[in-house]
Order: sequence, then C-alpha cells, then structure tokens
Amino acid sequence: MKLSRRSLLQFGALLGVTIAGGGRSARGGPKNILSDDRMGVLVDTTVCVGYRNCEWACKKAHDMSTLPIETYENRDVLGQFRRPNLESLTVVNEFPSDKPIPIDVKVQCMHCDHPACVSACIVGAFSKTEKGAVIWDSDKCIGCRYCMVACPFQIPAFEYNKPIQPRILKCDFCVHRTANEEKPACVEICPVEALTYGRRHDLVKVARERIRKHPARYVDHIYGEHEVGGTSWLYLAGKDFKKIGFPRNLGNNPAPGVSESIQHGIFAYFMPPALLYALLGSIMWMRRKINHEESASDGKP
Amino acid sequence: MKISLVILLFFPLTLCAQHSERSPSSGLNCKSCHSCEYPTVTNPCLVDCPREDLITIRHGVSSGPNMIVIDRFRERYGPVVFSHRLHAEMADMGGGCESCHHYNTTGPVLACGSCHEPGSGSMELGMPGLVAAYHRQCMSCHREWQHTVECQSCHALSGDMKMAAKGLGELKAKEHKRISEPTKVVFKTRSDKGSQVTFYHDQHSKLFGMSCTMCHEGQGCVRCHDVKKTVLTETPVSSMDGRTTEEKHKACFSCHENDKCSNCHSDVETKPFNHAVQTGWVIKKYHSNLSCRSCHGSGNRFVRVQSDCGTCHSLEKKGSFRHEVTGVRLDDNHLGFACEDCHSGNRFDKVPDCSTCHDDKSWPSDRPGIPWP
Ligand code: SF4
Repeated sequence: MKLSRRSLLQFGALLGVTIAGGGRSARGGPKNILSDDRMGVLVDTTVCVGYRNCEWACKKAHDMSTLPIETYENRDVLGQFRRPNLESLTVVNEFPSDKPIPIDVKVQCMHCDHPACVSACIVGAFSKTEKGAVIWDSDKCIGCRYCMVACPFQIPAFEYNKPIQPRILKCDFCVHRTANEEKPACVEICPVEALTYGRRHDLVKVARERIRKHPARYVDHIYGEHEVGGTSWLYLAGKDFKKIGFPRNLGNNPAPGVSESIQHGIFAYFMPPALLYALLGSIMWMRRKINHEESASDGKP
Repeated sequence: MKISLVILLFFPLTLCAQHSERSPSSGLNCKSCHSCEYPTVTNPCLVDCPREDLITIRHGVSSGPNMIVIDRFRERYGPVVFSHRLHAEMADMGGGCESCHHYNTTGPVLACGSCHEPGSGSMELGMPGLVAAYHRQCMSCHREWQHTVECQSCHALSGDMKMAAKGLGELKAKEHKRISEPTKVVFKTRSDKGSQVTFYHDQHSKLFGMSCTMCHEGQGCVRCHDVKKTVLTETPVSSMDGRTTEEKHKACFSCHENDKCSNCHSDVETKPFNHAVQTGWVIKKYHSNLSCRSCHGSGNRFVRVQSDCGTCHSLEKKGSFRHEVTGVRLDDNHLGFACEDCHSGNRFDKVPDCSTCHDDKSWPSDRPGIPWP
C-alpha cells in the first residue's frame, strides 16, 4: 500500500467534509451579523461615463500613490480588461454596447453578505461589519492567501513584492470615512452620480423603481441582490451582466458553502488530525507486524 | 332661506365628492401636484417637481432663455456657457422640452435647479444632485456624437474668462440650421400591389400634425452630428432593398396598419391628400382652421366621423357650436332649441323652416336673433 503525502491530505480533507456534513452547519465560523440597516452602493452602469475619478479618489482616500487626476482623462487604459490590484483597489472597465456609447463598469469588492473570504480565512483576519463592509485586519493575517482563492470575484490582492509583513489589499468600503458619516470616496467624487450610497434595503427599492420606469434602459436584474447570497454593492445594467465582465453561474447560494465546509471540516474538534494520526499509527503498526512476520520467516530456512 | 338650506346641505356633499384622490377627468393623482390634504385657491401647496408623467406643455423656443452661464460652482470650475436656445431649437425638432426637462407642470418650465439640489448628492435617495444632473444631461448626447468628452468642452479653463466672453458673443448669435424637410418622397417598390408609394412628408408633419419623433424615433443629435459619421453613411431611407416586409412597413403601420395596400401603393405617383376627394366632405371656411385632431381624435389612427353635424355640434355639448359664426346670433327665445327644430332633417344647406312653430314668420325676413358680427 503506497500513500503519497498529497493523497493523504486529500483524504483528510474529504474526511473533514464528511464529518462537517455540508457547509451550512459548519461550526466555529465567525457569526454573521447582518443588520437591516447595513449600507450598500448602487452602481448604475447605464449612467457611468468611465471618467475614472473614482479610481483617483480611492487612492487618495487610502494614501496610495497616484498621478494627478487630469491624467485619468486618458481613456486608453479602458481598452484592456483590468482587475483591482495592489495599485488600485477599484478599476473601471469598458465594454462595447449596441448603442453609440460603450458601457463602463466599476469593479471593486462586492462586500458580500456571506463573504467567502471571511469564511475561508483560518485566522479570522477578515470580518463583515454590521454596517456592511468586509474588512481585513493586518495583525491577524498570516499570509495564507486562502481569501484570494475563495473570493468568487477575484478581488483580494496580495503584496507579493513585500517579503516582510505582506498585506492583503482590497476595497474596505472606506470604513474610516463612513464612520464619520462621510460617503465612500468614490461615491462622493463621481461627477454623474453613477454610484448611490445608502441603506441596502432602500437601494434595492430604488433599483427596482428604475427598472420599472425605464424597462428599455435596463435588463430586469439587480446584480448582487441575490448573487452569492446577496452583496452590499448592487449593479444595474442595460446589457446581460455576463457580457460586461461579471462572473458567470455564481448561483444564489453563499459562496462560502464549499470553502467553509472544507476549512471548518478540517479543523473542527481537531478530529481529522486525530484520525490521521490514528490512520498513520495503524499503518505503522501493520507494517511492523508484516516486518515481524517477514523476519520471522527469514529466521526459518 | 330655502336656498341657503340647500347650499348648507349640499356643500359638504360636493366637498366630499371633490375630495377623491384621483381627479376623474385626467386620471392624475392629486398628490402628484399638491402636497397638502386640502389644496385651496389661496394655498394650492403645489409640489415643485412632480415625478410622474404629467401633461406636457410645449413651449416655444423663444419663451426659454437664450444663454445660460452656469457658474454656481465658481470655486472649483470655470463657468459653463450654455446656449439654451441652440439646444431648444434642436429639441424642438426632436423630443421637445421634455427631452431635458423630463416632467412638467402646466406652469412654466422648471429649471434643473428647482428639483436637483445644488452640490452633489441629494435628499432623495438615487436622485442626482445638480452637478450630476447637469453632467448626465450634457454628456448623454455629447458622448454619443463626440465619442469622448473632455471637461474643457464645456468648462472654460480657469483664467480663461476672456475666451468664455468671446464664446458667449458668438454663441448668442448662433442659430441652429433648420432641417429642411422634403415635400414628398417617392419610394420605388417591387410590390405587385403597385410599384410606387408616394409619401407626402410635409402633409404628415404639418397637416396631420405628426411630430418628427413619431417616425424618426431615436435619431437624436447623433444622426446629424456624429463626428465619426457612422450613422449618416447608413443606407438612405428611400432605399428599401434588403429589408424585410415588416421593416419596410414599420413606420407607416403605426397608423396605417388596417388600410388597403392600394391606399399607398400605386403604379403612378399619387396626388396629395385632399379632404374633399378622399372623404367626400368639403372643408368650408368654418372648419378650415381646425386641426385634423380636433375632429378625428388624438390617437395615431384618425377616427372616421359622421358627416352629420350633430356628431360634434350637439346642444348638450354646451358651447360646442357658436351659432353666431353663421352670421346670426340667436336670441334667448331660440337658444335652447335643438338644431333640428329649425333645420329640419339636419339639412343645413337648406333654408331654415320657421313654420314648425310660427304661422306668420319665415326666413329670411324674420330672423331668430340679430345679425352678427
Ligand atoms: S467580493 Fe470577494 S473579497 Fe469582497 S466580500 Fe465578497 S468574497 Fe470577500
């Protein structure tokens, strides 16, 4: 019987999943307080003009280095598809449309109601605040980067270039501003108010009303209302969301389902390691027995 | 005494009847215009900006301002010089005032700032503040044809006030070119129902009172102004090749769907519409000033009316017919009668018949009123 290290780990993980018995009942996960008054942002992509002032404001608000705002008028960058990264926690992408003007879509952390990153994090460095933001604590992070794998929107970025105390970077919903009753920096600067900051419940109503009033302008879908169990950031669009850079087939179940069951399964009650040691022990015991028998037979010519 | 009692009894009743949430005649909700429970003449408590589709009153281009200088945000941006008239002229050819001033009361057109609060953000969630409202409005068209909009295309650079002043003078004098409309367009078709369709463009726009957008839907500024000219180089309208039957007929069918093919198709060029020839009813001087819609309804398809005068001019419809236009103003004795009482058989081309009531009177020596005017 040959057991590689890898297959052993896989076996252990599988065992963990079986023990945990599905994601929903996972024990030990951080308690998710979802306040009825949690805030959100409604992004109307039919209004966005792709001026990228939000990108500039975001950097300013987070003390990141940036070129002057005038340079953001250059629309060349819109030519290629970008993701939020170490330099920009939010980016605007442009997609072709059937109308004379293209569609511009701002991308940042969605601040999921049931964040995959929060459940994937084994040290609890991520948390969903009562006000809606999903934030990250540098003191707790051990740099495992599970959050990056878990996030269905591929949002968290990692400071690969920093050997000492690398950070995970992502939109933090401007918690330092919203704590002082200020709007997030991107919302405040948008010259056309493509972004609306408000109670998530109210934003859903506003979005519904817009779709009702302008059925030709919007597709009948509020992205983020149900996706991965709901997100704090909501989107309206005039074109199928799959065609404007949103991930396909996410489903409406919270994304943590899988990652959570593996994570929490493995670590629940220290069971899998105990079982693993038992297994290893029994293999050793069996091999010793075989060795014994072999040497015994050797001794009898 | 009796009268005051009746009034006393009736007044609350009428009040109750009047105070229903919906005005029965217009289908409008009272609350769309009035903010308080009991609006009165002295205090109508009109809301500033009713966010419902209201009656839209078309105002002439000249009733709006000519130039507007937007310098509310002086500290941050240079002033924006906006030729309201030039834009109103364009709107006049397209969607009208409401293309920018989306909703309107029966009163004067409201400026953006009467609903959209200055600065960014607004009390009403999701309603853009003044800055965003301006930006959205301007950019939605300018982006379409300019394909990019730099801040400087509207905002004078700070310190460049001289430039702004110069532009102001030029803009003031500038007028939008009138779009010349063809009198008729003859479409050559391959149809076996008749190889030609003669379309009288000016009759449709002027006589039948159709707005440009009824056919030229969604052909905003970009149709003429596109800097890339992608739209204009499209196949001209008169070439119908390569279109499906449905596409070819789409513009006409919104009104003519149930008409016979021969109404439009013929092998020769057809004459313009003539009320006497096509309907058999000659429009004499009394009706010549009326628009088609005043008799034929407000829908896309004109409704056929009976040639019987009573269809429109019944006495029940008070004031629908002023007898004095015939040259005689009826005296009080005759005012209450039905037309038929004098004009037997409703034949108005015949001499009125006085003998139904009078033995000793006859037209024209005895008139039932005084000559008018
Ligand atoms: S989008 Fe990704 S990073 Fe943001 S909360 Fe959701 S899972 Fe976490």
